[in-house]
Amino acid sequence: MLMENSLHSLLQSEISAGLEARVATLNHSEVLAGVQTDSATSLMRLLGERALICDLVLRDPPTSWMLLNVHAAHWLATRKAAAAVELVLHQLHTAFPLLEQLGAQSSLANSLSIQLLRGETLVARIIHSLDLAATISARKNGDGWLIQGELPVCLIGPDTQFILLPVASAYTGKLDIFLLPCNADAVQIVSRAPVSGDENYALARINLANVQLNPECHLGSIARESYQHSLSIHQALSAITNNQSSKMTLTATIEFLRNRLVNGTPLLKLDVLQQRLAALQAELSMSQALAYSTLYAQRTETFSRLANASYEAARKLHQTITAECLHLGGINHYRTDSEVANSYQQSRWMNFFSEFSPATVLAR
Amino acid sequence: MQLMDHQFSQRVDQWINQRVTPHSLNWQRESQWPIREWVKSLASSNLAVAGWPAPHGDSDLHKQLYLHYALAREAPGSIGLCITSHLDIGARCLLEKANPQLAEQWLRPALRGDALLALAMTEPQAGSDLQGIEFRAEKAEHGWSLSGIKRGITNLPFADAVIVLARTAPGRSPFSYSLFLLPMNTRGVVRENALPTLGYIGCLGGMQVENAIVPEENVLGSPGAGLILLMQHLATERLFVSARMRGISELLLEKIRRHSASHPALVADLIIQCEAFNAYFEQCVENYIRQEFPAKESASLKYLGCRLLKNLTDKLCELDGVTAYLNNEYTEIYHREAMGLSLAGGSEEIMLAIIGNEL
Repeated sequence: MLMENSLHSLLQSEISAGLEARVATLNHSEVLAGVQTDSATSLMRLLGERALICDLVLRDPPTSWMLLNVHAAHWLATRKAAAAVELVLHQLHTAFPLLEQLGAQSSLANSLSIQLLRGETLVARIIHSLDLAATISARKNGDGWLIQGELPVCLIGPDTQFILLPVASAYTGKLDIFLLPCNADAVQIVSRAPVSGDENYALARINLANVQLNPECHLGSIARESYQHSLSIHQALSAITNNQSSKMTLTATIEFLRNRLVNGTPLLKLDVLQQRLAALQAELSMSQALAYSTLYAQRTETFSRLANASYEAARKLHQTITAECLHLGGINHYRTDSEVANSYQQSRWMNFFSEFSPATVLAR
Repeated sequence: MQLMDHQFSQRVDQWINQRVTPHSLNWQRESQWPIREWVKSLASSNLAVAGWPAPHGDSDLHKQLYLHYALAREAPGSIGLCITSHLDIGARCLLEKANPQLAEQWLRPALRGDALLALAMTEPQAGSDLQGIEFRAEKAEHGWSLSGIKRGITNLPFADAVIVLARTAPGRSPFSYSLFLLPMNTRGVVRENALPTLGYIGCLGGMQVENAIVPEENVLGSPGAGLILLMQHLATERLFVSARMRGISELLLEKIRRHSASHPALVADLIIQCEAFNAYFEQCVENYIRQEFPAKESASLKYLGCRLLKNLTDKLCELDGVTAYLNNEYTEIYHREAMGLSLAGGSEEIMLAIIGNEL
């Protein structure tokens, strides 16, 4: 496979030589200053310039992979554009591994995976793709395929060119993966709602009204478990991004309350405020422990369940922390240029991206 | 709970199944706690301190934690708490802080079950604020003279000796306190009846002490270092109390899941909370082993365990309906005990104050 052959040999020496140093550049303000607007493409290209994308999808050795992803997740949490971040994570942890697996079956998948690594193309994010796979129909039509169905919620942006569509096969029990160009005639965007805080990105409802595809657009088929695994990795890393955003918000608020005086005493010294923050700090430590231990468990049977739990825990905590911190900062945190206000908005918005219903997965 | 030595966990489970489970509810109803026999039995089965440092054990902390975790799951009430207080709170404090002579005199009998230990901090007027204690120790001709009252102390109704925090200088300086080992048969020590508590009935007691003389070698650590030593030891205590909380919380979650098998959404959130607590617990254990377990982290662990346990017992009460209000039913017992455990080793507010001070 691409990962194990070309990428691995290409990057092995570079990883051992300078992984830490290159990760460090992610936090460097000069690098960040170069990106005026956070878009999924610019984020991907930035990661590419630092030769990090390849590392981010390289899972061997797993420790380096995890370390790097954690760093990247931390870094992505600093970005203001939650939609772009969500798309980037999707490319790295769902789309690329999928294309990489299909590379053996399809040369188109192979070339697309390389374009994706270079930040030259992006695929849209289908919400609840696994559940939807059973509702889409794909049948052979002459040489090609005819696709019919509906995608109720899809994250799209100006840079998204394709949809990677999983369709459950009634015969093999596997998932057939199709590549749909977003601009194909029969791919109809029925409604498009711009996301809060970034109108370039939207949640779209897409109707697939007899989309006729060429044979090569059927990229191949993969096991359902394999697809689910990449969604779980996405969740586990999103948990880290959520936690990191929570941490930044909490730190900013603590700093604010430390400097804000009432009758000469810092607000932070007031028990009633300090204890609220302490409780949040404890919850955050726990959520972080869960997220990291989940990544360590990625080769175990419990991974999917843990990934879901860690994502849910981090997502809910992110909402709680940002709401509390917005409140504690008063009007200062209510301003649109406030980091806390931004986190608050994004935490609500990112609520959409729970891939599975927690009750379903945990009950399973 | 992570435990590599499955043989050990099987032996612990077997011991509990044979020695505790058949009698547990009867003991609970009659508030009888044959703790001395349990410790003797654990010791003779080589289970009491299997995870202690050499020469007592093989330094596998997980074994000690598993013992208390398993006891908490299978033996409601005072059984597990008394053993934890004796072995890994009282005796462990001696292991770490007593001079060789004192260790020889008290530690070995304690590990055999021939002497029972308690750790006394709380007083009628000072629980949360240890620097406000009034129990005092003054230099005497042949050692130290101890006077004051301690109350709400686990194991005190049947302990043979108590590790006691006493004021050795006026003021609130952290160096104004010392730790002593006070044998309960010392002249001037009067043991009080067990307190009529909601949970852990019969195992929380008090003592009134007036001019009880203990020799110099009964000072644990250096004079004046008592509070600092105790603070370090409290991190250990919170870890073991949290192992108990983890044991109980997993048991309660299993019961809740059985109740709500057809409504998984009802418990999804509790499952997530349990997973998160377990992950944090494991992280804390690793940090403790690496000796990187600050007060802030032990306080967070204890606080989170309390919250989890209260959430679980509340949910179980909701689901159990009237059973939750029947005396000595499991739900009712655990509901009372969740509150008791949240007080042991410092209440949630104290934990939050510890965390908050380091923000």
